[in-house]
Amino acid sequence: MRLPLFSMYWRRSLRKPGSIILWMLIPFVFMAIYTLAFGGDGDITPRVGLAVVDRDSSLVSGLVRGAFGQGELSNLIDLKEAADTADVAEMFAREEASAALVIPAGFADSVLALGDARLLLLTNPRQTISPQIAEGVVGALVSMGNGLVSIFAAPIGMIRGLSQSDSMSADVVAATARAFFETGESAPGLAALDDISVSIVEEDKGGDELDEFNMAALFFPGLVMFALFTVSLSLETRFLYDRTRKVTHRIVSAPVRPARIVAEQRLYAVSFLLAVAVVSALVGGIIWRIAPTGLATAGVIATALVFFIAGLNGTIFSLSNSVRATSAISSFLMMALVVVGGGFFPAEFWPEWMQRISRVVPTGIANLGLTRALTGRVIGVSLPALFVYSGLFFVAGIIAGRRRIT
Amino acid sequence: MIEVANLSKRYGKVEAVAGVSFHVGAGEVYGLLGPNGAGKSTAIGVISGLLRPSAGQVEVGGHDIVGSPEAAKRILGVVPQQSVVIEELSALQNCSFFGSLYGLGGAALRARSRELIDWIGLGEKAGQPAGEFSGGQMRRLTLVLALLHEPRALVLDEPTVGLDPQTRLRIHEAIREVARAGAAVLMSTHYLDEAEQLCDRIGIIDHGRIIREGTLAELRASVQDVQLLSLRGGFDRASLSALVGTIDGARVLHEDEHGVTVSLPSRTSELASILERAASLERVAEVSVKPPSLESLFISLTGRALRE
Repeated sequence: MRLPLFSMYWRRSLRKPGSIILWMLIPFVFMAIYTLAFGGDGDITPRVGLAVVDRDSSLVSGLVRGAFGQGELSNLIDLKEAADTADVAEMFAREEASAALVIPAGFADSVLALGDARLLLLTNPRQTISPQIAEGVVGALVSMGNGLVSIFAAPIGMIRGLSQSDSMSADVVAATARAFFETGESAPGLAALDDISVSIVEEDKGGDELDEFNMAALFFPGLVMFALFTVSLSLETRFLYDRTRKVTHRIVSAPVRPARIVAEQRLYAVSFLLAVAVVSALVGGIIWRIAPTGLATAGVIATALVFFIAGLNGTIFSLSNSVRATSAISSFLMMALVVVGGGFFPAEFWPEWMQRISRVVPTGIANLGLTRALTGRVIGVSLPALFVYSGLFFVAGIIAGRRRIT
Repeated sequence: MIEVANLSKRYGKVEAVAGVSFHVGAGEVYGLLGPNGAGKSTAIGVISGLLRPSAGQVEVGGHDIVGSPEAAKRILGVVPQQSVVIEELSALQNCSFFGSLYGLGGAALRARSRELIDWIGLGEKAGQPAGEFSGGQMRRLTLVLALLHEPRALVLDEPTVGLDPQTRLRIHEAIREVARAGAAVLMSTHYLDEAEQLCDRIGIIDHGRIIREGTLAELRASVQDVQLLSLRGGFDRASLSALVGTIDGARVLHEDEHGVTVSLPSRTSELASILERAASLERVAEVSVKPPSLESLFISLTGRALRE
């Protein structure tokens, strides 16, 4: 079957690919920025700089400082020692710390006396989110500390008595230790402290290498989706120029059915966008070492997405012969759909109501589907809905295009 | 070859073409002559199959342009008003693409393309992107693209508008050659000289209607009766009307802020006296008489000059 228009459009694109190559570079530029920002190791949790001014220099203040530097918390909190609040102010100015915890002198005494022990938290007035994270983490730790202190109130009192007495007999020390042990044994839920060894075990989800999370697999599909929209806009602008310059009219004056002209245009748009998607995926996959997981599913989703984009923009660009009007409508919808679809920032980070919206718009379904397929997760979104969107808009594009050229 | 019967095209309340009928035979060049906005391009658009007629019928080679558009378009070559080429592609690639729309291909199409490109004088530019061509070269390539499939009917919409004299001459020659080869040629123009030089028959069109039709000889014979008196200046229009009323067969054709055009019977013996009386009107800046010509006929029929 000969497809003269399809071949002609491809030949033109390959002859002058400049602007399209520029649009294709968008996801790579954005992804490079993301990689520089987050390090590209898959950990996208922001690290919060927390300065500590320890004016107490006691065992208890040491325990507080140590709590921030242990386990998972050490991935979130970047603990920095500060000599005093002036030092903290300088760190704030240099934006090396988002918050500072001041442990006042006498803090240990207040804790052991089960009195009003206070910690002072200073936040960096220049920053927005990180100080709030620091506040949350410190608040959680203090709550846990308060709980433990109230449980162990009696033995703590004995320690205080020990520290105030001039002499320390072995019996008193043993009694204090026994009091700690017995409190722990009798406290609800703390009986297991005999052999404490808590670790996190993930449920076996049946996928391969689930823990080898790749940040690019999370961000790159959304960015490619954005590039597909921009490339599609560029293709449709070219079709529109052909209409306004009467090239399409001239083609219509040949013995070719208008429906066939529009169908070949749509076919070219879809094939071109698919080529852009494949090239971007290959190059991006190699650069950012995205594991070839779920490729078949990702391919199906990408194809449906491409049909949707080609159909949507084909419909919009058939509404008018004004480049300005059609580009404005198309650009607005593109930005809205890409943002709502989580193209720039994954929808999983959003509030539930926004995620619900994202899961019903075609870009959201496609983006979630792609990222989940590429990371070996359960897809969990309605692919049939995506296929319906794609089919509807593709057919609408052909009908609207046919009406416009005849 | 081209039969147009009672053709009408409406845009809402505006009737761009109103009951136009004519035919163009094989080997004949028919010119639709009229000012801008007369309905020429709309008529050409319908005949080319680009616009649907509101009423009437167009047949090309016996095929109805609405009922059997593909059969009609297969024997029709179209040269639109503006140059239509794919700018990113070379002249030869343009030929390859447009030829393929007519089912042509392979060595035969390549040979035909090369032959026509050389014939129109673009041989040296055959491999160059059409976007780098001058306006005249693009126009010539547009003509080539319409001739690739050796059409039996060629429709040209203002084929030489805005072109330099050399390119105009080259395109005139090409149109004559196409007609000599047996094709029916329908062209629209608002250049009188072009119509006089090229067309075997001319239909004068205005406000969507053909108001006079005939061979050049027939039209020339009919214009023997008409000469035009033109007065420019801020003179009193009532005085002029009074003057016109005294001349047997004279009538005011056109009047605007610059002046008045009056048609006079060419047989009048009082021309010198009329000129003298006209010149004596106050504030007349210029008085002139146009001898009988196709243009004077056109103005007497339409009340306006072709350049309008």
